[in-house]
Amino acid sequence: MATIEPHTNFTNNAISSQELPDYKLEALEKVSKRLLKKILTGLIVFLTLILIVAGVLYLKEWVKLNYIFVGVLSAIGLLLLLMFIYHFFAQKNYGYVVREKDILFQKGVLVIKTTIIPFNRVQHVSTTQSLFDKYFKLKNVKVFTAGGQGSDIKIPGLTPQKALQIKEWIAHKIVEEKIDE
Amino acid sequence: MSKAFSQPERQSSIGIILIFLSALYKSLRGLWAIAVYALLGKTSQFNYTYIVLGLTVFALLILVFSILSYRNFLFYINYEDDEFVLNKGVFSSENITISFDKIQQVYFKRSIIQRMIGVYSVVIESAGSSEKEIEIKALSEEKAVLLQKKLHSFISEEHEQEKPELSTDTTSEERISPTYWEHRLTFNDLLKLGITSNYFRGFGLILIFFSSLYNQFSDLFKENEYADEAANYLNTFQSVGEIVMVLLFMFVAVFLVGIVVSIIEIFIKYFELKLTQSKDSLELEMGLKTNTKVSLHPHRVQILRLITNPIQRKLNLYQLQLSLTSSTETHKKNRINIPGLSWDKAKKASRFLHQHERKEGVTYKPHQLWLYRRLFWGIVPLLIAAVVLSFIFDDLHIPVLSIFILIYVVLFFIYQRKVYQKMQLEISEEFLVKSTGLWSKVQVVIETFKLQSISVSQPVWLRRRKLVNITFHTASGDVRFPLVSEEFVKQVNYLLYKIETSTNAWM
Repeated sequence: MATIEPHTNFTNNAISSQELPDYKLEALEKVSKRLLKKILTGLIVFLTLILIVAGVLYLKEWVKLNYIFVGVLSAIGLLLLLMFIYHFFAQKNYGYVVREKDILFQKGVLVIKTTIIPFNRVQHVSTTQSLFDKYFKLKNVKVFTAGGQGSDIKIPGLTPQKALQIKEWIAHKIVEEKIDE
Repeated sequence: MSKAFSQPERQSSIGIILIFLSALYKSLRGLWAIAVYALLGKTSQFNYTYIVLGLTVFALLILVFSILSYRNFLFYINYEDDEFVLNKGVFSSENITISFDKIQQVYFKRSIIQRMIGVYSVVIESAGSSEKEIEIKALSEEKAVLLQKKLHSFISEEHEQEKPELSTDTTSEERISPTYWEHRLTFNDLLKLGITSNYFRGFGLILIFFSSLYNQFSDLFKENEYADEAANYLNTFQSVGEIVMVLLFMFVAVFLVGIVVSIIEIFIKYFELKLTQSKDSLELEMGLKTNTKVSLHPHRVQILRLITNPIQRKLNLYQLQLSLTSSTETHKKNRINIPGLSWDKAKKASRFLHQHERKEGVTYKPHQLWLYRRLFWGIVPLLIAAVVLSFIFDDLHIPVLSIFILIYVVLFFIYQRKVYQKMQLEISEEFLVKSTGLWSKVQVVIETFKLQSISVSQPVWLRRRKLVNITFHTASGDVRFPLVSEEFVKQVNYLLYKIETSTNAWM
């Protein structure tokens, strides 16, 4: 785990800002490739359900095979395709770095947003796992601050080991902070 | 320590009146439109005895409800588990428990009725979104003060246990021997404030008032009556000159009404405002309709805003707006305004609320793109609308219209350019200061160690220009700064370094 090692030691001397660790230079760690599979599966399951419903409606002759019916179906199909394209790029852009004193998370498709939370401002950390996540052996890490929703981060598509590792690391750091104080 | 409030207690019995009146008010509020309708409409069909009888029964039911509500409202301090407990409810019962370490602050509030019957509202604010603040609406002064003291003593105990090193801070010398001072708003100050404050806000309030009235009555009026009348009225104007005159007259009228409304609003909100500095907090008391008392502790203030406009600056009037740590997402509600401060006192108050002296820092400005964007959105849609309209209606005075548009474009350009020039972000050793505003100037001041996290966002279309938007997250809301160059990254690194090395308690 290269990234979970101390990055640069802080000193309390006056430092010129050139010497500060630069978050922009960090190599982002990517989330698991299984996340894309999970998203794809989710969309396919959804599409299948829609098709089954549509099939039943048609076979039972509750609706006729007219323009509206076909139109609605293809609109749903198009929407799912767009969603897939969106998620494809979204999962490609997810990236995170766990550093000695903070955690950095990047996401976004059209707007790339990077949020950095110092560990001494973390309220609590948790891991979550949905049914799909379980099947694909994935876990999410959530980091909460007192700054409200915009400042919290949720890293999706982590392997369970890594999720646990990150959570433990942050929890350990929070306790350390408390003792220091 | 005496164990006051260890037994379940009720509010002052006179509080029944308060509960009764507020329940009556609440239930009548929903019915007032019907009442007005009944009075204006065919009253002769109603039998007055039935109305009186009905109202009496209604009032009696509410009285019974009030008494039950009073009897079921019980609160006490659980000394064993370190918590404050409240039981209430008539139809359903509710049990609220707040542990001492979750209590943010305890303050008093008084409405006119509460002042008339001589009781106080004690409000207990707590952290965490699951528990809301609780209000005990009718306590005698003696009890209210005792309860506040008790709860405050627990809070400070908790705090001292957590942060024992706070007193070794460099600023502690000033804290031990503080310069006590007081700030009061006199009748004259209030008048001055009312005249010099934001008239457009006053105008906005009128609009809100009338639109809510309209909503209440809309089904009582026939729909087209007014529209027709207005159309007829407009048709009577022949020349452009007359229209200009009318517009001018309307503008002046709106302006004057705006001033009057502002003055009234300011009198209601800030009547008898008193700000006193005690050893470790600023005590604030104000309000005509509801009298609020708050203690402002430096550690609770997350964002400080200093607001003024050119006229107010001439009169040496500054407004402080303090954003406190809030338990909910509604940050706006947790802002406290202290208007009418002289420059000196505003400085003193800020100095007291901040750990460090403010120093000069590096300033940043948004990229010019910000201005171009503003100009685009302010002008282009209007031009398109004008062109489209001139095609639809043949009888538009196109020369007049274009003169108006030209004037607007020029004024808008000058205005936005000035706004752009005034906008800046300053980062100094301990502070983050964002300045904005052309007329109403706002300075947003955040101590760097009170930041919770920082977000940097970059839309793909700004990648080529190497521009980013910055969001600073605090425990009482976000502060954004748009379109700075990627160079700003080094300041983000610096700020993170400041947060991560800070040992100050941010809350």
